Amino acid sequence: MSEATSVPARFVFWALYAAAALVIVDQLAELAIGLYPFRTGEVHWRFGAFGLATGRATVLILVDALLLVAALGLGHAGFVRVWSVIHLVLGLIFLGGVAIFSLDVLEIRRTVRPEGMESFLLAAARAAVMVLISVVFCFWAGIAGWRSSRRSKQADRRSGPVLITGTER
Amino acid sequence: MTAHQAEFQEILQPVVPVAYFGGVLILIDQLTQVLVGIAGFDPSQAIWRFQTSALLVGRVSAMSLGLLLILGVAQLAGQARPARLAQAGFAVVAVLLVFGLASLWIDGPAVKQIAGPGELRGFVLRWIRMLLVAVAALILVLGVWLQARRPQRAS
Repeated sequence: MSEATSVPARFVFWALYAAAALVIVDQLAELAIGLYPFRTGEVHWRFGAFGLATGRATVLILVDALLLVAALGLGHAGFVRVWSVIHLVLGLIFLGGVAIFSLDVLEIRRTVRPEGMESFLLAAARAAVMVLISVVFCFWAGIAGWRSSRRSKQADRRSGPVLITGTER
Repeated sequence: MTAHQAEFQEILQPVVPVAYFGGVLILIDQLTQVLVGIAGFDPSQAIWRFQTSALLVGRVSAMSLGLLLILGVAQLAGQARPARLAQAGFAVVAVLLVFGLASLWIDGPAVKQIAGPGELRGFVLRWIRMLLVAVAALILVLGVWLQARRPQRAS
């Protein structure tokens, strides 16, 4: 894969990897602490968990961008492929999650007091919309990442003979 | 543009629209969080204006990151239109911040009177923090907006 960076810039890209890893660990730990004890069988717990998880969208998208920039900058085509597959899998998980969430909302709705109904529906709608958009994002990112890694491999193959003959790229 | 840069742009091209979408997703996430957080709609009440402004100020930094993502990708991909849209977004955020700052400044004393004696100190500290954050965010947003306009003027 072609590398679009000079030696000093490579350090910055490695730092981006490290920063992204740190943010992911931090976010997952915070989410796990917020959701503990895990009661996946309870409807209210699942509803709260879904809302909490969707609240992390902004940070995770930024981490996503950091990882992708670092991987493309360092020429890690293999990592970009793994990144793409993870996004496709996440898209499927979110799709399943939103189906369960919809059923949970219908169940909880019956127990919500009338004065709290508006805020409950708003929160539920927000979470559902965010996850549906995230599904689109994940599938799109998965496909685009795969294409990008393929291009970089093609660029790698092109650059091979060029370097041997010494022709300027 | 060097051959290296051209090659990098070619590799980057498929993920550019996704990155824009990611930026938009961040904006939607933040704006919906503000909408869900707002209690009813009553701009005539000082407390409503104050709470809405506080919510908005709390979300501005993340909104700026979303706009920065769009702007950064647009500059990396050499696309002027998304960059202009991001600039417009920064201008809108700046206007919202000015209104928010005005509300925090003007409505703050009225809301302070409602606060109980036990929570007065905490309220004042949070109020000062929000004012400082709003001022800093406004400087940042205006700075990015002005900087982003520079290359356009030059071209």
